[in-house]
Order: sequence, then structure tokens, then C-alpha cells
Amino acid sequence: MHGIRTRLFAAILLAALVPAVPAALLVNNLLQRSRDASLERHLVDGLEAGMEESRLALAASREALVRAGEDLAAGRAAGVVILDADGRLAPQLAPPAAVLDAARRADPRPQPVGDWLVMRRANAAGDDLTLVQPLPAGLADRAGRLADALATAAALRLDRGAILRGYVAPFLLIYAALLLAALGLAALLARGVVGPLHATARAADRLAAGDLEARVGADGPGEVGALVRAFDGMAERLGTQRRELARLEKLAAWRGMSRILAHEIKNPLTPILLAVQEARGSYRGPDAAHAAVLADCETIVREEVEGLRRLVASFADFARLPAPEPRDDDLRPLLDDLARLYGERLLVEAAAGPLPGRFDAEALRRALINLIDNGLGACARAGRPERVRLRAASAAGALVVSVADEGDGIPPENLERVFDPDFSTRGGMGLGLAIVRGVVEGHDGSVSLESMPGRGTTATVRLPTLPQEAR
Amino acid sequence: MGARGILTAAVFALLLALSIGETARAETPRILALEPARTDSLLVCRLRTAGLPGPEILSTLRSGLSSAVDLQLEVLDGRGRAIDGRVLRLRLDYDLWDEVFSIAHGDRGVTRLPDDAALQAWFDRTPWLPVAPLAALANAGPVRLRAALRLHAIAPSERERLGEVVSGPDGQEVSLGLGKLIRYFYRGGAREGGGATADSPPFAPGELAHARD
Repeated sequence: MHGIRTRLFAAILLAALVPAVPAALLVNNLLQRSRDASLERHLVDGLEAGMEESRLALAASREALVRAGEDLAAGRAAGVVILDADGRLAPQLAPPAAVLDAARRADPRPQPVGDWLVMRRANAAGDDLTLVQPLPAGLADRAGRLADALATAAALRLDRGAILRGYVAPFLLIYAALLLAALGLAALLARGVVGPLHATARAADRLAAGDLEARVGADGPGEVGALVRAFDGMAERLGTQRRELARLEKLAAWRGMSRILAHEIKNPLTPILLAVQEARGSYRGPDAAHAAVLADCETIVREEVEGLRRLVASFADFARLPAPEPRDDDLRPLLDDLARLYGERLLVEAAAGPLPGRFDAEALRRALINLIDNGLGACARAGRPERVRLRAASAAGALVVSVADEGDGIPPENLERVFDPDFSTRGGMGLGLAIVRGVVEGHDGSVSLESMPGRGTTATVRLPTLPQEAR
Repeated sequence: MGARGILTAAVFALLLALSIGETARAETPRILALEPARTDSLLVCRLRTAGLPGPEILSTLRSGLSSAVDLQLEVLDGRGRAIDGRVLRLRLDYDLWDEVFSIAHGDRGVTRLPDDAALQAWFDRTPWLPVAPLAALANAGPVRLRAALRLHAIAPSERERLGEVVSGPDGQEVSLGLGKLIRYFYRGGAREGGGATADSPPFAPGELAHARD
């Protein structure tokens, strides 16, 4: 079982790992391409060129402001002087306060502050001269964006390892989670497959050791479930066949013994009876008491011999029980015969007209007589009127005959055993129901009992109406 | 290669490793001295350093990225316990357009420095930096100053910006999106630029000279 589990794990692990290899190679390739040095250099060169243009533009503005500053300083201008883009005085312009603030702390080298250029120097008189001039429109913004792009490119270049880790680590994390999920799934699958297989193997071992009640019991979906069900079905059939075989062996043994007993007991009975009759008849003396004793003895011996004959007859019946020869027939004459035989003690209930079936009339007669006798005996034991109800019907491919009594009933634990030849609760040999079962099974039929102790018993015989080959 | 050859190669390798280590040590930022002083109300100090800003930070700055230096200044009492102090974060930038360096240090504004030499000079002998109010140290007795430098070749704020570039802005992600995962692991790769620590000799705050440039 470990082999299957391991192989299942390995297969799922492989199925999870194998597609990851080309995916990882592809992702790696994409990452490498995205970080291609020549491409990066190309882009950075372009950005650098743009930045150089911006620097030149700034330098030009700066030179212009320096020149303007020199002119104004020579003219002893002082304080904050605001110029327009062409270097003319432009007091109407209003630089933001932050620009003016930066301008007051500026130095002689013009410095860009936002969209403005600011510088501070001394005029010819040594007084502070602060100059503020707007930069060409959009210059600072373009330069800022170029600087951002250059810084980002540099970061990507400097931080390759960290960026790669930033991409690879989540991939590995997610992949590890998926792998764990796959392994969890494998464990569940292995449990679903290996568990029932393991249970099947154990049940097979128990079955092999002779435990016919061994079953897997656990069910499952798919082929494993089908295997388990097939095993349990097979074990069930095997148990049934074993029990049937044991029953047939027992039956055969009883028949052999019955044959011997019938032969060994039957033969001396007549000489015994004759000898007793002779003994009684030979006495001619005057002793009436002695004659009476002899008469009593003869009566007792005759009754006992009759009893033994009946026993021998049942043994003989059981032993000789011929294989029934079912043929298409009508049950009605048999029912009429039984009604005549038992008179008021048997109530026959059947639809008018013929009751077609396939049976051996003589064998079935023997079986039904046994059932009726049993029923009458049960009524007597229960202290009720000896009366048995026989119902017969032909339906659904079977001839069904039931014999019901209101006798003392059979305890549930004995219902199956009463068909055994050695089972009797009444002190006899208990061959009646064994004969019934032998006859019915000889017809490929079945016999069942329903009983409520103290309330009565119903025996039901089902005989197929079609020959075996036609069924 | 015989045993002698292997031994010779091993010795050379060891010497090479030692020399590389020595070079690395030479470039390691160091605090050479801590100079405490006072203003009317504050204990201030000036640092003399070597190896700052260092080639890695300079290279980072020249590429347009920001760097940062965290400077922790503590006043220690006679038993070495910190009784006051402050942490300053210096943000270093290089304006690719204007081609000047700048150091932004919190409430003290921005200092513009025209070139590498000016930047290095700033670190060689820093301006007076605020440490603690003198009033808080009035009864402290002799104290020492401890300065701890921590360099970030790429400033943490720059990492935030780059994180967005690498993984996409927050607004486009669900709460546990792939972008957040990428950013989390990307941040894990932040490079640090080393650090240094130094203590001043003990001094009495009340007896310090006034800070002069």
C-alpha cells in the first residue's frame, strides 16, 4: 500500500513540478530580457541626451540672468528684482512665496527653484540684490521627469538582485503554497484510494483464514468503490455457498444414516410383533391376570412398534427422497386430494379453476403433507383447534403455496435451523421440514417461514413456473 | 600542481583576502571625533568623520538616487545610561539638472553643495548639530556624548518610490495583491551602507564653550 501512496505522491508532485520548470525558464528569460543591458544603455543614453539639453537650456537662462544681474548691480539696483523671461523688469509677475524665500537665501550662482531661477549678489554699493526670473515654460517639469527616469533606471540597475528577489520570492511563495495544496490533495487522494485497498487486503486475509463474515464495509466512489463492493459481494456469495455446501454435506450424511437406521430398525419389527402375538396366543392357562398382563404387553409392544414404523417410514422417506421431476401440471387435483385427506382440519383457499405450475406432484404432495402435519401439531401444542389454512396462487412466474397455522409458533432464533434434519424442539428427529426443503429446492424453488411465537406460523413455498433453461 | 604550489597559492589567496579586507576597512566610514559645545539653550556637537560620504553613496547620488544618513546623538550619564538625545536623518541628493548636491536635515533646512569636495568637507567637519536642551542636563553631572552613524546607500524614502515602480502603485492592488508581495520582498533587499559609533570624553555641560564656526 505504501507503494501506491508513494507513487501517487510522486506523480502529483511531478505533475506540479514539471510544468513549473518551463514556466520558470520563461519567466527568467523575460526578466533577463527586460533587464537587457544594451537596451537599458540605449534608454539611459536617450534620457541623458534629454537631460543634457535641459542642462544647456538652464545654462543659457543662467548666463542671461548673470548678465542681467551684472547690469543691475552696476546700476546699483537693490532688493528683490523680478525679471521676465527676456530679462526685462517685470514687477507685475508674482513668484510664489517659497521662491522668494529661497531667493533671499540664494548665492551668486543662479539656482532653479520650481519654474523660477533665483540668485543673490551684491550690487556696486555692496547692497543685496536678489533676482528672480521665470524659466522657459515647462523646462523645470521636463528636467524633473528626466531626472526621475534616470534615477529609476539607475535604481533598477543598482538593485537588480533585490528586484529579482522581489519577483522570484513571491513566485516561489505562491508556488510553494500551490505545491503544498497539491501535496494535501495527494494525501487526500491517497487516503481515499489506499484506505479502502488496505481494508480490502485485510478482509481478504480474514476470508482466507476462514472468516466468512469478513467484509470491507467502507464504500467509496469510482473504481476503488467498485472494487470494494465487488469484494464484499464475492465474500457474501462465498459465505452463502460455503453454508449451502455444509448444509448439503450434512443432509447427505443424514440421508446415509437414515437409510441405515431404516434398514436396521425396520427388519426386526415384524418378528418382534409376531413374537409377542405368539406369546400372548400361546397362553391357554386359567390365570386371567396373567392373560391380562400378556394382552397389555402385546398392546404396548404393538403401539411402540407402530411408532417405530412411523419413525422408520420418515427415515426411509428422507433417505429415499428421490430427485423431483417437475413437469407442467395443475395444482388443483393435488389440493382436492389434500382436502379430502384432512377433511375439516384443512381449509383450502384458492381461486376457482386450474392452478397451472411446474412441479412433481408426488414430491410436492409429500412436502405439503409435512407442512400441514407440522401446522396441526403446532395447533395441538398451543391448545387450539387443529386447523390449518392452505392458500395457493399462481403469479409472477411462480406458484406460491402457503400453509398457515395458529399454533405455538417458532422463536426467531430457530427459524433458519428448523430446516436442519437434526433440529427439533419437540423431541423427534425433525425430518419433516428437512424433507420439505429438499423437495422445494429440487424444484429450484424456495421455502420461507414467518412466525410469531404463540400466534402461529406461515410457511410459504415458491416454485418457478418455467423450466430452468427458459428462465 | 604539487603540494608546494598549492601552499603558495593558498598563502597568496590569504594575503589577497587580507588586503581586500584592509581596503574595505580603509573605506569604512568612521567618526574621528565628537566635539560638544553649547548655545544659549542647547547642547550641540560637531562630528569629524572620515570615509563619508564614501564611494557607494557618491555613486548612488550621481545616478540621481537619494541616500540617507541616520545620526543618533545621545547624552550618557556617568553610568553610561542615555539621559537625552535625538536622532537626525540627513537626506542626501544630487540634482541631475542643476548638478549640485544637497543635504536636507530636518528643521535646519537644505544645504546646497556644488561638488564632491564640498560634500566631503561637510562630513569631514559637520556643522553644529543640536543634541539636547541644556536645561535637561543641569543636574546631570559629567556626561559623555555618543554618536552613531547609519548609512543608507539608497534612502528609505527612495525605496518607497522604487517599490511602487517595481510592483505598481498601491491603489491598483487588492489588499493581498501580488504587488504587495513583490514590494515586501523587494524591500528586503535594501542595501545598507555601514555605520560607525564614537563616544566623546566626559564633560560638564555647564562648562562647555559656546559653539563657534
